[in-house]
Amino acid sequence: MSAAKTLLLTLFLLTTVGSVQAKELIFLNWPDYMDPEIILEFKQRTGITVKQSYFDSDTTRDELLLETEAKGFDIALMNAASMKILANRGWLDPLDEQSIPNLKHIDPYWRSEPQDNKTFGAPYFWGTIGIVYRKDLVPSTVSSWMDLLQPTPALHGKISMIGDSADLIGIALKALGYSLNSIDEKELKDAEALLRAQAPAVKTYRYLSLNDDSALLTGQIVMSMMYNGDALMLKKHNENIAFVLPKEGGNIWTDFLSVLSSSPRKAEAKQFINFLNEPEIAARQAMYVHYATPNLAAQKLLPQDFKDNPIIYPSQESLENSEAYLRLPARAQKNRAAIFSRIVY
Amino acid sequence: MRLHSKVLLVVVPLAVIPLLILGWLAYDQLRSTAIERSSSQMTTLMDQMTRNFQMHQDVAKANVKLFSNASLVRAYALTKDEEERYVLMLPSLLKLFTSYLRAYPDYNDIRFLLPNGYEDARRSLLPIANISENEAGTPFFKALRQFKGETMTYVSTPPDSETAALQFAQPIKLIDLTTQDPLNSTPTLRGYLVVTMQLDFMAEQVASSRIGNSGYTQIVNKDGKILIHPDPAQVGQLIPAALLSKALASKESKHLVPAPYLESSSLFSARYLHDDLLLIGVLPEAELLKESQRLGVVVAWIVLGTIVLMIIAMLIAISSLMIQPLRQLIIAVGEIGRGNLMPEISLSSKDELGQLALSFQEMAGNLEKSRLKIERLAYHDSLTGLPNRFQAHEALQHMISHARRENGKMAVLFLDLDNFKRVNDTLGHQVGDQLLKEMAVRLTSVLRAEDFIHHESSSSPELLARLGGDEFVILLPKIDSSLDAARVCSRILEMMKIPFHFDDKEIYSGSSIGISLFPDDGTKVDDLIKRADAAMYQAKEQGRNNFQFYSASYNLAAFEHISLEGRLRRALKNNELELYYQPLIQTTTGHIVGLEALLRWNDPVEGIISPERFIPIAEDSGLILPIGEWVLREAGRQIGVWHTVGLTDASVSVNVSAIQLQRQDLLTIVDQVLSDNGLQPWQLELEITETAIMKIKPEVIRDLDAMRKKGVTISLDDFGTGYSSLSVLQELPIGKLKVDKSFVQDMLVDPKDAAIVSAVLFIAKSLGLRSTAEGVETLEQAARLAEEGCDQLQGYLLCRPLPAHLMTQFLKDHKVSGALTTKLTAD
Repeated sequence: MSAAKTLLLTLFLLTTVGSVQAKELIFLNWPDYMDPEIILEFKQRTGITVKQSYFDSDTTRDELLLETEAKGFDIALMNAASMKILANRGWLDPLDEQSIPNLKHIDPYWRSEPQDNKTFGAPYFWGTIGIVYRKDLVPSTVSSWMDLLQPTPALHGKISMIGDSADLIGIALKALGYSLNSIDEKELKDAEALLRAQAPAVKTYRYLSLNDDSALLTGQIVMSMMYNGDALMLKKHNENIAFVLPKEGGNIWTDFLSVLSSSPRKAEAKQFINFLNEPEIAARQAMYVHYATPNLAAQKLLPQDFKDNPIIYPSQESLENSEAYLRLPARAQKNRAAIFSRIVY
Repeated sequence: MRLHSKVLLVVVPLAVIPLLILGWLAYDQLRSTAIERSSSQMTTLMDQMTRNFQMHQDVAKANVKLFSNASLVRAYALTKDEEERYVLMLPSLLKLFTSYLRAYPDYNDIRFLLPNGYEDARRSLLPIANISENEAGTPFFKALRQFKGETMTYVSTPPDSETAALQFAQPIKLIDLTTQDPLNSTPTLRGYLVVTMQLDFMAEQVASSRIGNSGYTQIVNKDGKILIHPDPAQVGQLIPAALLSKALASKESKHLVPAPYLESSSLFSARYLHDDLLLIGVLPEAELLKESQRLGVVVAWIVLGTIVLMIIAMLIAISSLMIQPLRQLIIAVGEIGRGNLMPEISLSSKDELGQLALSFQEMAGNLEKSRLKIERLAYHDSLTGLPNRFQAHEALQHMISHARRENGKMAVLFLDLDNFKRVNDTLGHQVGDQLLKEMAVRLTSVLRAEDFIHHESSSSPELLARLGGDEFVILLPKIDSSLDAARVCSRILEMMKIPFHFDDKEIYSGSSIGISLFPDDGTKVDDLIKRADAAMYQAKEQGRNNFQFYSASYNLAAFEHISLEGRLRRALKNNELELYYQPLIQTTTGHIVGLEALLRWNDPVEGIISPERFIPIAEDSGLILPIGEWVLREAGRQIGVWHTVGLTDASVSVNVSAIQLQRQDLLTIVDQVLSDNGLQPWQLELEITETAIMKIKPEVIRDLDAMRKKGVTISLDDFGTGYSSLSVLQELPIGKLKVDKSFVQDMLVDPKDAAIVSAVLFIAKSLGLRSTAEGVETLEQAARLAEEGCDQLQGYLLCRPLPAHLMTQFLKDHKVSGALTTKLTAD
């Protein structure tokens, strides 16, 4: 855990203690994954302040929760794998359409998700993972994970990767033509070797900022792994930013919103989730974060050009090689954790 | 062995042994100091290393406890669900482990083991592949399972790890608050946190743990397997069991244990780092002893240098103090050995060697005396003191070689006493010995007399030796003829006629002498002596008291010579000699102007003996001197008588021999003759043969010159036979030439003789000399000579030589007119 994060957490705890009375929700979220206008609107409507706390990878979020025993947060953004385990641990409060009526707008596809997903998380957005790069600073065309994993010498020190176990090992497996969910030791070993070989060229495993001070905009980083919507957000700042879904395929992910069982304001938290799933609000959110929303009602409200954006809504064929994460055997997870620790830490 | 070496053998050890002992003591002291110092150095180092190890171990123990208390670890341990652990917690746990490992680089890995031995989490910063995830069967885990304490420390040499490592294991026992009552339930074992610490920190210390130059430390496990060693090649080797047990026994001791290790003796010290970990210090003794060995080398060099210096000093000292003097003594002794009995020994020192030198000289002096004595004994006859047979032989040998070189002659006389045996038998040996002694004396005196006469031969004196008994030998080294030997013999025989007187006894003893001559009778010592001996027996056979030559032919000549000489001597004594006179006629006047005195010997036995026979004998024996003097005086007296009675006023001519000229004071005799008889110097004429005057010495010429100046006429007799040159003639103080009668006799028939006569007369005239022709027998000759201008004539034509009384008559007869004038005019 970085010192900065510890400080952030401390500040957060202090503020929390100071504003117990003033109805406040602490939302553990990715940065730039929430339209601040909407938070203001929620406050105006309910008087509840939503304060965000940020993480930059699922792993750091889990770590944070482990350290705090999931205390001090009301709402947290969840990935599918972690959500199941945290739910198992009893740290998540179950959700239902009774407490969050707007869940009815959610595409039934996600409602048919496994029990845990349905029960403990409200789908927030879905997306893919690909390569973002500076067209003006990367001389060659980018089409493969290998362009990132085996960068040309010119790119050394100017690339970054996502410090997430599943994503990092996943795209390496994909690059080698294996399944994202491989548990084959040899395949994992190959993936580890690939990542290890790449490691010296990697500037950072931290997720890039999406603000106007982003390293991708400054040119410190010219190529990186990135979630599709984030790339579009950055593109607003610089037209030279391009995003490609590599030909080997990638991951199709879904983010969920969960309420922490340790929260003293579970009702308010669910109220906020419900608010977010109002079609109009959800549409605005999608427009803000540039991700595809699972809210069918909101989707209808979205402009056509948004819906036609192939980055946000990749074609069926471009997703042909992509996979979603499956639940893996425990020992395989252990192996991945070990591999990840050897590369990133 | 030489004296040098012996002295060095004694002295060098005297100096070297204390030096060696001193060197050894210093060496030993240094050695023990070095060992002590190294021991403390080593034990200090090892204690320090042990403390260091303990500190690391303590820190590691504390750390593993601390790690296992981390909330994440506790949470992880309490989480039973695998998926939950691995997905949710493992990354964080590994991250935590990573940060621990970063903080403690000594730690190899941090693991979380489940109680069943399954390795649930492992994080290592080292690129070491994990071999097995299940530790259940390993010795480490077995030990861990048995472990009841708080933190277990285990030394492992995992086969998958190159180097030894320490494992610190902390059992994690927790109460699960969700299911258990915190008060009443006992904590359950949830797993173990294991930290593996590389022994690198010790390896570094071991690598840098130099004791001196070659001392080092190593770490072994309890089986003796080397885990850490400065030389990586040694890792994994086993140290000998004996050494291990020794090292184990010496643990914690401050003292080092000596033991052989790796083929060299070394000193050891051991410390327990852990129940299963032993630190062993090794200090090769060679290293320890290096300093003392250096001292040893220095001492060795000093000893060597001392030996060399001592040897040089001793050699010089011995040489100057002993060897040189000894060498001089050796040389001196060598000289003595070679016969030089007075060797020079220049030794001034007053030490024993100087005394030895003095003793040597004394000894040499004694030897010299002895030698002289021995030589005397060897070479001399003890009775008579004469040289003995041995010396006689040697001397003879010497004389022979000398004579051979000089081409000379010599004689060996062998003689014995004719009646010695009888004297011995009748009068006793004492008398015999006295006889021999007296004999020796007499023989010596004879030789001395002989020597006096022939003093030219004094350069090589005669030798008289006694051969033994009554046998004597005389060696005459230089004789002109056998006659010399014979003369000596006759003197000896003469001497023997004198009787010997012993104790009032008168003894007559004759002697027989044998003579051998070199080179006629032999050229070798033995031959000459043998032949002389043989000749002596011959003499005995001849009736004793005589002598015999080995070669009979010499005997006759010798006897004649001896008898003539003897008779001549007697004749001189008994006035048997007589002068005859022959007149010399003046050619122009016919007057008798001179009378030549001619010596005649009328021997009672043989009658008249011609001068040609006896004059040479007289010359040989020296008798010529008294005879010549007698002739001069007699002739002077006679002419004086005739002058006095008025028979004639003619001069008298006397023949003078060369020996007289040289050995007599003729000048004085002539003066006496002139004054005794009232003669005028011109009335005396000395005739010298041409051959004689050629031989005489310059001082004799001066005498002659003095006489001529006085007025005495010197005439050259027999002129023409001596081939003298005109220049010589001119320088000679002569007043007259006498033409030899041999030329005159044939001058009328032989033109050669005539030419000589003419030439002589011409020369005489030219040089202003008078001339006389001898042997004029005919008138024709006289006429011719007168014609040629010859001043005087002499010969049978006028008158034959007449004894004095007949000459007196002759002078009386021709007193007035002169017979010759008559005769000449009668023709």
